[in-house]
Amino acid sequence: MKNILYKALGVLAFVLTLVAQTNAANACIVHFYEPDLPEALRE
Amino acid sequence: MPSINNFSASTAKKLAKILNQDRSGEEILAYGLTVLLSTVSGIVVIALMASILGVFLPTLAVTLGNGFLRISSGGGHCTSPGRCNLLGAIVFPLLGHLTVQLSEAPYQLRLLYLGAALLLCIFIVLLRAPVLTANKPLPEQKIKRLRLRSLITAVLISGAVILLTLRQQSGYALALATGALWQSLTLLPAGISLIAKFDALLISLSAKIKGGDYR
Repeated sequence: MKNILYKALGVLAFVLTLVAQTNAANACIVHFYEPDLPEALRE
Repeated sequence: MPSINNFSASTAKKLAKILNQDRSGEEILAYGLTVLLSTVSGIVVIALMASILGVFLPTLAVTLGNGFLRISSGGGHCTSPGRCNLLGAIVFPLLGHLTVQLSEAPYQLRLLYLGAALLLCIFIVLLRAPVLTANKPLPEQKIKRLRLRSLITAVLISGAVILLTLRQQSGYALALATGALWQSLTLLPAGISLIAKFDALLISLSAKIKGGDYR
């Protein structure tokens, strides 16, 4: 059970990282708010 | 009132701890969660308001026209996800309602509006895109790429609008063109300033009502 939960959190983290990278690579996703870009995603 | 930013930061901290992520990993997770939550909640409030006003599909088409272009062109911003969502929940259903009214106008007038909206949109994109924020600095090479992508998107939207008009779906054509036009207007200094004024107005209103900040 703990293993499944750990994997699910891993998938969630992967999705969030993908969203972060997608937003960092574009001007913005469909909204009027832009959070501070993390240092690790700056070029 | 818990904000999306605070919730994202605390959730990312817990997630990073469980998954043994370092500080930069935690920041990326918080950023991704903020973007995801503000986008999803924005779409939900727009859909809710549009459904209440009985203009769900036109509003969806307006949001699509706006959203496709905004991905590469950027534009004016609010300073919190809450105010951003409120602006979207006011503007998009109103534009959806406007396009429903416009679709009852004479055919020539609708064609004139579509032509003017698309030409203006392409012209503004050519002149101004992309409009980025200070908290998201991008290298010059990427900015050039976004400029080209914005122009291609504006042309593709124009193509879709022409196709919809030819297929006698002028209601959706009007909505798509209106969404793209609104988005291009948020690239202009006047559009950016208008959004900033709305943002400032909400900040002062919430401070007066609650003695705090609406986020």
